[in-house]
Amino acid sequence: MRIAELVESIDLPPTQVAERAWDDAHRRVRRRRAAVVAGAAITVTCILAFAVVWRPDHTTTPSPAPSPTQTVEPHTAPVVQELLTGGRWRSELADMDYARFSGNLDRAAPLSADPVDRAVLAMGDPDDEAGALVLGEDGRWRRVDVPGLVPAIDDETGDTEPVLRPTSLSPDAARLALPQPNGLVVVDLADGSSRRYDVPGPGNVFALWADDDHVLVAEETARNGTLVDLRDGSLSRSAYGPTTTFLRNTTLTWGTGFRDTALRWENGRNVDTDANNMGGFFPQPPLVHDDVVVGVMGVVEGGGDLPSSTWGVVAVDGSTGRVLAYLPVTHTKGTASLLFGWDGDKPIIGVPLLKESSGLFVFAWDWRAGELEPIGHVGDWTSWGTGVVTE
Amino acid sequence: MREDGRESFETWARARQQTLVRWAYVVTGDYQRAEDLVQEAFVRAATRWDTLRDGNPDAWVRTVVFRDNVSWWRRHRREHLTDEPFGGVVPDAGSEAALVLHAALARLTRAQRAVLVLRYVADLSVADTAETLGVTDGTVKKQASVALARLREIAPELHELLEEQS
Repeated sequence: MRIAELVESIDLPPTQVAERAWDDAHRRVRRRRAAVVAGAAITVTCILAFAVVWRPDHTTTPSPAPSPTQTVEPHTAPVVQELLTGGRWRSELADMDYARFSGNLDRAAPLSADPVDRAVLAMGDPDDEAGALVLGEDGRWRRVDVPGLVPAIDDETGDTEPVLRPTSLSPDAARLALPQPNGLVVVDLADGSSRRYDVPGPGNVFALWADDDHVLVAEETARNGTLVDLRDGSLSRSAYGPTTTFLRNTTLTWGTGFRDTALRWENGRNVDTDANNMGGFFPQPPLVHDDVVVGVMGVVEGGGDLPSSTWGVVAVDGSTGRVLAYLPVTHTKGTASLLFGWDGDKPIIGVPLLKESSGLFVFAWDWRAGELEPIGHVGDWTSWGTGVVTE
Repeated sequence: MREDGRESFETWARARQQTLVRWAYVVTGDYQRAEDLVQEAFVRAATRWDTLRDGNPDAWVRTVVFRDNVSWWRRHRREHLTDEPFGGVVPDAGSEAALVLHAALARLTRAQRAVLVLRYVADLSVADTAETLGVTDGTVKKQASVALARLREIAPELHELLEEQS
């Protein structure tokens, strides 16, 4: 049997897309003509909410070391939240403080001329696909200016990806790790300086901080990465890939895949779970805090207690693998959520909610209570820092 | 856009809609967006049906569907892997092999899925696939090779099938 025959055997519902096409086209042509006759141009600009000063009501902290032998409080069944949709949250999203993370982008100074001690976050420049911006604790943006930096990478599978990764910021939010073709560039935000390391791999697209002195670099199609010692530039082959979280005294790998349902702790300890960390289109390390592990999950078939044919964010007990809570998210953009960090014991997640809006809406997810706290709106490519705007 | 073209357009579109949506679904993994892509392509085809009907509307609409998908993807940029669950509809795969293929395709990039669909489902030549996607022949060959290799890795159950396609 050929691929074509197998594809044909996938049972899809009958479509009716041809039925209205002619009438829609007719209306479209009429509208164009009317527009020409009227010669009208209407521009509507909507800018929402502008609190320039961010007084954070939460602080983010780096993930502390987990204690895999501890367990969280027992639940008999996972907390399954109502589907998170843009429509349901439209009023809250409209009230969201958009300026918190996106104001004054136009006035971003070069990082080398205006360095920062610690980043609140780093974000892809919405006006320049190849650019990266850093938000300092003073509430001002800097444009990352590194001579010779390759701004986007052909990942060797036909896709081009920006070098600013969700995992680019170091745990102390003072450095940026930017993967490069056959290399890695680490930018010191405190003085704007940078250093390049040679790392084989023309399609290096992942850079994850293992600790203060080591960054894991991996290619799109590689299972494992290369560990770069930032002190001397030495390289070592790593057993870990882009779905590994490096904690103070252990690691946790939770790979992508429908059936990849094992939490693999360091030293070969595996914990089976009914959940997965498929990551949508983007493999990312899980968030870990006090033995709660958070991933981006797809429920494809036989979801058990979870709604099948959905994807969203899942919290599991890192010791037992038991699913604690699941937050299904709408699928409006065909993209997945990003796992940013922690607000106390609440994971901070970025989700694409509205078809008409680019970027991600950021929430702190109180999975125990099944509640969401809106935080802000950021670009599609964002790395979450530990800094807070204080001025 | 002459009204006397409606019947021929709708006859043509109805005959192609299911196949095009199926291809778009396999590439996007999202049934709703697959329908959106095909519907938009049909609307655009209808606006130029006067000239398109005497040419090669199949190739034209196929190109629009696949390139629109690439454009959408580039705008939203966050699709790199692949493990996205397939859309709002979970298909009844129909066979174990189809189920495996379905899961495996979900782990390819969109570009890889597009090449596989055009080369091995739509049965286009390398040159026609390249023209449809707006890339070079070399890119198509490379994408096809990478995609088949990846399928072998993640779905060894499909060994015989993949050997046949190589």
